[in-house]
Amino acid sequence: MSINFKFKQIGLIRTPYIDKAPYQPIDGDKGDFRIVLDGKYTEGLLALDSFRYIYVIYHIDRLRRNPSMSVSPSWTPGTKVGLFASRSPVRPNPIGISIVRVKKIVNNEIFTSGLDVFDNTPLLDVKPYVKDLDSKNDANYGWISGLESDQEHLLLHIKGIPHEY
Amino acid sequence: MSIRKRSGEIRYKPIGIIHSPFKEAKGTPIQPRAAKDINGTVEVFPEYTEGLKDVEGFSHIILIYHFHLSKKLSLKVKPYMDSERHGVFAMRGPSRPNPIGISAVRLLRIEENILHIQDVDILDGTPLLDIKPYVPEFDIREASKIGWLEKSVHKLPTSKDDGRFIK
Repeated sequence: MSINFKFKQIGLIRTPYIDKAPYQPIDGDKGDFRIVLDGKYTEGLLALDSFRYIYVIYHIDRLRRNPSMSVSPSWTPGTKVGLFASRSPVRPNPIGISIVRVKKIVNNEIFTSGLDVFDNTPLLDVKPYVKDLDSKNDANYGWISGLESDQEHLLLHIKGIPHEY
Repeated sequence: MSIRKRSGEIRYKPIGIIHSPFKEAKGTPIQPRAAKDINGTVEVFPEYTEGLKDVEGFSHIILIYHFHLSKKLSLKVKPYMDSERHGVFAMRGPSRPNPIGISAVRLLRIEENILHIQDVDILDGTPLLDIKPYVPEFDIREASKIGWLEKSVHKLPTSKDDGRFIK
């Protein structure tokens, strides 16, 4: 199908990550994490600081591979799963979503907890995270719970947090 | 205050179509919680069927889609559930600088390239852009503040789209 939809960069995401980024956001991550919105959209931030968490939606722009329908997540080598059963960044539409904490909003800048993207990643959208809508308390872990390792250890791998065991 | 932009356009292609009982914006529940028990299907185009392997083990998935009927952008909007205007980024409505929608839905089963889903708040015929597994560790947050929604979230089960955001 040749239909496609055009989207625009509305800002950029500043992080300390130039070459390596964690696989998932780390709340207590040290460093300067900021969403810089193009000045013309600043009015759209009105009342956003009344929320604790937000979805950050971005274009994953530093990909060097084409998507494959079967992937082996880097944190569990040897396991092959379908692309849509993974959070791999290499997807037909490289749209990334991260849920982060809002620290403060100053003019056109949103200061947040740790983001898992490279510095200067193009921003597409910001939405409030609403617990009543977005928290699925009975959600399971799919194929991840079938892996032979304890959940806590796996999560360190999933998030890309260095550890020594 | 203009920012330095990347060169080149950002273009996404539909990877499937979302089907639901909601044929027009008017009457569509505005979020999955309000859409409880409403069933729908996601038809993934055959070239992506292989990518659906192992998705069935997840109880919930995140659908990312194109709000194809959103109307002209306004940065401050009066939401469905409040009488005051809020910034477009403090709302989940469809008229946004980039009309991208996100819904976490329950996955019932998969038959070939068709996903049967529940708690659907999406218009029939909506173009699908991505499917991600819902992983509690990444996607559940104990958000004790729900901003301006706090005083009106009880209206959700009955709030329906009145058509104000379509063209």
